[in-house]
Amino acid sequence: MQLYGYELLELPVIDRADLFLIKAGDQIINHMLTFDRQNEQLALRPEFTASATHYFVANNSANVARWQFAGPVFEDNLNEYEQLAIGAELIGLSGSYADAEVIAMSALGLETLGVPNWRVSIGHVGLIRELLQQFNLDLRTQRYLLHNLTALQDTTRGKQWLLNHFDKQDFKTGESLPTRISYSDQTATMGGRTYDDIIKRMDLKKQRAADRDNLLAAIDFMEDWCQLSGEPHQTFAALMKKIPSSNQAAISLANSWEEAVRLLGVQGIAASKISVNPGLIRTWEYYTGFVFDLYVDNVHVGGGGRYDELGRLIGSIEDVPAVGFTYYGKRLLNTLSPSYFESHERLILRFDDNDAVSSVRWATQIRSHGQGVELLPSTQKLPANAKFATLQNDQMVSYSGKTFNFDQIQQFLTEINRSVHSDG
Amino acid sequence: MDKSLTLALPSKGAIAEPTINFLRDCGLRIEKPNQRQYTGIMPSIPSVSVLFQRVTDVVYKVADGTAQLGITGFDVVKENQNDDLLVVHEKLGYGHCSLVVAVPEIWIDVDDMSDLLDVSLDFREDKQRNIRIATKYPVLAREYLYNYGIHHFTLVKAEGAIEAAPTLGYADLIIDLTQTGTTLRENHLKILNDGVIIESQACLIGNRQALQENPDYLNTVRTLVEYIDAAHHGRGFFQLIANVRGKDAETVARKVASNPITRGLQGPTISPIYASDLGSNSNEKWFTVTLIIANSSLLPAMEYIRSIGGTQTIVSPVRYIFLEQSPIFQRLLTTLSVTHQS
Repeated sequence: MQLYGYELLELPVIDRADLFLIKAGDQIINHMLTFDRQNEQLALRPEFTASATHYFVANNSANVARWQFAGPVFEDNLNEYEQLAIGAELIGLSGSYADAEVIAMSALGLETLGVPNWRVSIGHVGLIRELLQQFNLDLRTQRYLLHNLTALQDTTRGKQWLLNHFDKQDFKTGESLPTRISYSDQTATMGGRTYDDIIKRMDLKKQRAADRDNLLAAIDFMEDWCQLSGEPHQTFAALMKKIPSSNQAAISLANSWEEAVRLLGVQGIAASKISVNPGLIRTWEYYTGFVFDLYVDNVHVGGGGRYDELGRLIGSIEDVPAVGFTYYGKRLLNTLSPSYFESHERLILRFDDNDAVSSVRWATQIRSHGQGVELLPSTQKLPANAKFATLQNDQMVSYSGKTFNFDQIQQFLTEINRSVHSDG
Repeated sequence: MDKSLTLALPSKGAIAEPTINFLRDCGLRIEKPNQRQYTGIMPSIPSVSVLFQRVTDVVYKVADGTAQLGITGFDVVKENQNDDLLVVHEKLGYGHCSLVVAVPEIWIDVDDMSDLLDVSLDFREDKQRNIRIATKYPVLAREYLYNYGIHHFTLVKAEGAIEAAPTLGYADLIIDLTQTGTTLRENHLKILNDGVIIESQACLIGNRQALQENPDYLNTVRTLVEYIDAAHHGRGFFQLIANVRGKDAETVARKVASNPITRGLQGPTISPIYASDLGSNSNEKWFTVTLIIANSSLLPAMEYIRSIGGTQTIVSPVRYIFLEQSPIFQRLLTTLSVTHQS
C-alpha cells in the first residue's frame, strides 16, 4: 500500500458507540462490544472506516488523505472476540479512478502475498438505490428492500419470503387504523412524540398498504436485477438494458461503474478475475456507490466500497467522497501458503552468556542491513523450525555450517536469503 | 456431619415474604434468630445456613460461591447470566410476573414490535436522537430489541417507579416487570402485542462448581430438592377417603377404578370395615376406599363415589408426594454430569 502512497494511521481502539452506530448494518450492531462509561456508550472498534472518517472530518485534514491501517477489531462473538483487520481508506477523492485504485490495490495485494486463486465481485449500492426510487416507495420500504436483497439471491428464501417477511412488519394493517386522536388523548403521556408524529405515521402506514402494487413491481425488478451476475462485458450490456432510458442519474452511475471496472484491466487485472454482481450489498449501511468483495477460492477475505455520505453524518457540513477496503486478517492468513511464512520467518542469533555484548553488536549490524534478528541465549530452547545463526566469538558467526566475520556480513545475509529461497 | 451449605434468600422485595412462606409450606421453615441479622437457619435440614440478600445480590453471591444455593426471580437470573450459575428449579410456583415492553397508550399507531422498529427509525430521522427506553433490565432489553431489528435506542437506567418515566419525560417507553398490568394502565401505558420478553417466577439456583465438586453439598441439595419436589407434587392432589358399600373388595375396587378420575396414582386402596349397621344376612359389606385425586377432579370424583354407593367421604390436602426419585434432582445430576451416591 506504500507504493500507492498510503500512510499508516493509528486509530483509537475505544470510541463513542454512536460513531459506529450511525450507519452500521443490523448484523454489525448486534455484534458490537459496547459498554457504558460516565453516561456515555462506548464501543471497542468493530472496524476502521468510521474512525478514519471521523479523524478526517475532525482534523480538517488535507483535501485528499490516503491512509492504511492494521490492528484488532472486535465483535461480540463468544468464540472469538478479536479479529485482525488490515485495510486502507482514500478520503477526499471521487471518480472512477479512485474506485479502481482501491479495488486494484486490494486485489493485487493478494497477488503480492502469493495468493493466485483470488477473484473480486463488484456491485453498486448507489445504483440500486437510484433504481428503487422509480417505484415511488417510501424511504423505509426502500431501506427494507435494500437490506433484504440477499433473499432474492437465496434459493431457500426468494421473492415469497421477502413478501411474507414484509407483511409480518404489519404494514398491511394500515387501513384499519383510527383516523384521528381525540382532544382528551392529547393530554396523555406522549413519550417524546407529538400528536402530529402519530398522525403522520398513521398516514404512512396507510400509504404503505396502498403502495403494494409498487412494492410488487419493485421486487420483480430487483429479482431480475440480481440474476444478472457474471463477467463484466456481458453483464454491463445486460444491466444497461434494464435501466430506463429516462433515468439519466442511473445511467450515469452505471457508466461510472463500468469505467471503474475497465480501469482494473488497465492495471493488469484480467476480466476472468472479475465478476460484476448487481445484487451485491454489504453489511455496513454507509456504502453509497460501488461495493466489492474479495474471495480466495470460496473464502471471503475482504471487501469495501464507496461511502460518500458518512463524513456528513459524522460532522462535515457536506458529503466527503471516500472509498476504502478491509482484509479480514485471520481468514487471509489462513489462505497463505506455507512458503509465505517461511520467507518471513525470523532469524535467531544464539550466543553464550559471556558473549552478550558481542551478540548485541552483531544484531545491530544485521538490523542495519534491513534484516530482522532476535537474540536468544544458548541456554534457551530454540523454537521449532527456527532459522538460526550462532555467535562463535566476538568476530565470527556461523550459519548452516559456514562461518562469517564482521566484514562478510553481506555474504552472511545473502546466504540466509539464499537458503530461504532454496527451501521455499 | 455434612459440610454446611449456604442458601441465599431475598431479604426484601416482592418475593421475600412469599419465599419464606413457600419454604415453610414445603416443610423447610426458616428461623431468623435476630431480625436485624442477615443470617438464619433451617431446622429441618441442619446442614443449611441461610443468608439474606437483595434479589440481585442473591445471584451474585451464588455465582461467586459465597452461597451454593439461592432463591430469586428468574428474570434477575436471566438478566445476570453467568457461566458459574445453573438453574436447579425454574418454576417454584410463586412470584409470577412478566418483563414487558410498554409504550404510551396514545401511540395508537403502535401495536407491536415491528411498529416500534418503525418509530425508532422515525426518532433517528425526524428528531435526530435515539428512542429512549427506561429499564432495570438492560441485557434482556437489548437482546430483545435486537431480535426485532431495533438497533437505534438509548437505554435509560432507572430505579423505582419506571412506569412514570414517559410522563416525566426522561424516557419514551419502558421495559419493566408487571404482574397484573394495573400500574401500567394507571400510568397510561400499554403492553405491545408481542412485547412480553420473559415470563418469570421464583426459581432455585446453584453454583455449578460447588455442586459439581462437593458431594456434601450435593447431599444437602438432594434433601432440600426432595422436600420442594414432593411438596410441589403434593400441592396438585387431594387424598380422598370414602366408605363404600359392596359385595367384596374386588367388586368395589373394580367399580372405583373403572372411572379414570378415581383411579388414583396407581389404583385405589381398599380395606374392609367391620361395621355394625349391616345385618348379618346382608350380602353387602363396607369398605374404606383411599384415593389420590387431582385437585381439579375433586367434585366429579365425589359425584362418582356417591354413585357407586360411597358416603362419609373425607378429603384432605396432600402435603408431599415422593416419587421413586426426585425429577428435579435427577435433572440436576444430568446437568452437572455427575453421579450421586447418598
